[in-house]
Amino acid sequence: MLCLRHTRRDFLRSSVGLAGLTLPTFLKAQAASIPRRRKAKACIVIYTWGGMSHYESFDPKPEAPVDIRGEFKPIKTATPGVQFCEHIPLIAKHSNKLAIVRSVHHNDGAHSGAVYLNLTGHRPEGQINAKGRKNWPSITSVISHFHRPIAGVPGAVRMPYSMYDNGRQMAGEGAGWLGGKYDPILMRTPAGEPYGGVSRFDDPALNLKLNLEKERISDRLTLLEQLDQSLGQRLGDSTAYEKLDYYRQMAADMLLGSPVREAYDLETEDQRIRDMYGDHIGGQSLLLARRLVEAGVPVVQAVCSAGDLAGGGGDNWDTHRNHFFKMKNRLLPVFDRAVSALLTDLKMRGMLDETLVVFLTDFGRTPKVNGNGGRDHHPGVYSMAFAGGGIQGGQVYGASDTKGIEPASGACSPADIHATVYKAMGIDHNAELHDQLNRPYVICDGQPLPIV
Amino acid sequence: MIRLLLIIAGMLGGQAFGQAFGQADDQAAIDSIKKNGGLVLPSSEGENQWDIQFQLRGRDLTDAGLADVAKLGNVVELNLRDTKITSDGLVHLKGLAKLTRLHLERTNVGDEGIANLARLNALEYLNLYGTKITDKSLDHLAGLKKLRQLYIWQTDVTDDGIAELKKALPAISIEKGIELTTVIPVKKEEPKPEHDLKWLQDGGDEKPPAKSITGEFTIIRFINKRDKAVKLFWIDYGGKPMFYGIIEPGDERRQNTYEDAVWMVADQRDMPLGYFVTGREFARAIIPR
Repeated sequence: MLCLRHTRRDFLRSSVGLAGLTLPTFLKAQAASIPRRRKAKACIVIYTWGGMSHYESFDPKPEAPVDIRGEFKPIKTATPGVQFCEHIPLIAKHSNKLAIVRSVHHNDGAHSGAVYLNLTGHRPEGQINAKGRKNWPSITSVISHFHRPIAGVPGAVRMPYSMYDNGRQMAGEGAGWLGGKYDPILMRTPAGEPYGGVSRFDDPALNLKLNLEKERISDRLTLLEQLDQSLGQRLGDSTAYEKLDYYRQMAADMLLGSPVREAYDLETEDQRIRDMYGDHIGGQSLLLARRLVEAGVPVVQAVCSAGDLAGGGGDNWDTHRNHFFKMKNRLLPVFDRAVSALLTDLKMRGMLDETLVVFLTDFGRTPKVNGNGGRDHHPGVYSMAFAGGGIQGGQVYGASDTKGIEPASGACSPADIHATVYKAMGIDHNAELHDQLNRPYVICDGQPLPIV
Repeated sequence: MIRLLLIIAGMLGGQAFGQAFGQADDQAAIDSIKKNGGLVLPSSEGENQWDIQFQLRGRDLTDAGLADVAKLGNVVELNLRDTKITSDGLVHLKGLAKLTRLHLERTNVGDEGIANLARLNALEYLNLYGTKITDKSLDHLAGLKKLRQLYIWQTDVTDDGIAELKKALPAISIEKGIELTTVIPVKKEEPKPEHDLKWLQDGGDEKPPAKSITGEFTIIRFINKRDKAVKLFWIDYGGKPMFYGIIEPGDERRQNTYEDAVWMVADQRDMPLGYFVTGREFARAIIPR
């Protein structure tokens, strides 16, 4: 496997011949200069729902024919020789914190399978459904199993919506066979202009704000009754009872004075920090993610999109039509501002070295722009990224070919990405977990990329 | 091994068990830290070393409570973020020779407290953002040869102070953060309507579609030029009118919608006056006199 680690490659190219420095010597020298690697204590997963174009984000192809490279130009980043799309100029300034992977690929061209694969690290077997307890657990659920929070703090939180395609909720966001206790708590981000488009609210989402505005709640039983009323009718699935019970207990814990309750109240954040993230649910979700990590939540997932892809309208990354207009005007500006704000904020608060930020998406987009000015699904190759949490920034792992059609080097799978996350989080990717019937499963069948 | 024994001791609920192995002092300190809301976690750095965190449940910690941390000794990580400690309390940290990572951010500590850290030679990470420190604190840190990460956002440390410390500690990375006054909120540019939608008079020759179809997101500015208020309805995907609001005479309404949507304008008695059909572009919809 070829490792295109820019700093190392450039160094080797320039000096191996001259000074006769051997690779092991260099590696030893490098190891000595970098402080001991720390394990990340928290993880923020940023999911660009619908499939983010690699061309118009981390892997522009300026040399490709015009019908492939598209309308946008590349720009320089803070890392010499690495270019991003011109519409993420703020993120480009943070490239020294990012490890970009340009060679992820799989072969599932449907959203349902691709989401499942990217969130669980496993291929779907047979029919999958969102509430299924035979599903593999989400990466957030697995992390929360190994990184236990203190009492009253949820192990995993996701926001601001569940993912839907044509009214069908996607599988892979829940805990599956790990059991309802590990289902991430869905939270509605309390501020920011909502994404345009449809968002489904039939999952029990916690709106702590409603309760924050009430007088301080001290009576647990009354609170549980209130929660039952607001959550009760929404659950129609077979696991409802188990889920609801865990859910309401956790909700009650949070409302009764956990640090999470305070974190959720974005009104207490400095207005200028809020402005830095952007007055949009995308930006405010990432701000809330930082605050939840500060409050001791081990893993937070933020979906950068509205909930339902149906009809092609709205702010999602499934840009089959009018791709360039949507990317330039609706999607990339929010993504650029929110992500760069998160990286700035984590860095200046001294949180970045213990907080792993991971960017995931369904798949890339097709090389050829279609008749509707859109790009279609392309799992053949796509890009993702890591930041913080012991990841060495300023590197690119793997490459796509000159037209962005398939990996040219460093081909890797969503499972390899998961193994990398687990390694950064100090979790053995070969660890076994047990389902509800105590059957053992090895959590991941990928290999960590050599970027941690 | 000792860590394991301590855990077993804890599980048996027996301080006596710990005492038998000479860990009584540690156990008493741990109990006291926990009573103050602190978490005592075995550090991943090595055996019998502690990662102590007060920032989640122990924010009421005061200076006196830090004496327990000093008693415990083998502390490699200590997080005091958001606690009520002051400079006076830091005297208790003087002897923590193994401390590699110290969080003091968002507390009331100042220069006189930081003087107590001058001999913490194992320190690699020190977070002081949002404290009362100045350049004087940086003088106290100049001898900490292992210090690699220093956070001073929202303090009175100056660029000169940073330059001085970098002379003493060339390998250090000092994070100054951003000046919040430079944050410029995104101006929400109201999209300029590119054209006017056609008014389809009720009962006229040109009929609107029976229902909306969903498409790309767009924004329509409805402008009521009539001398009476009108009611605005969206004709949904099944052809049913859904009431959205009233537009007073001369008023405007900015409406998020999608292309190929049908909007009906009616009078106050819900009698249809006319229709607009949206396109992809942002547009004006002028309700005529």
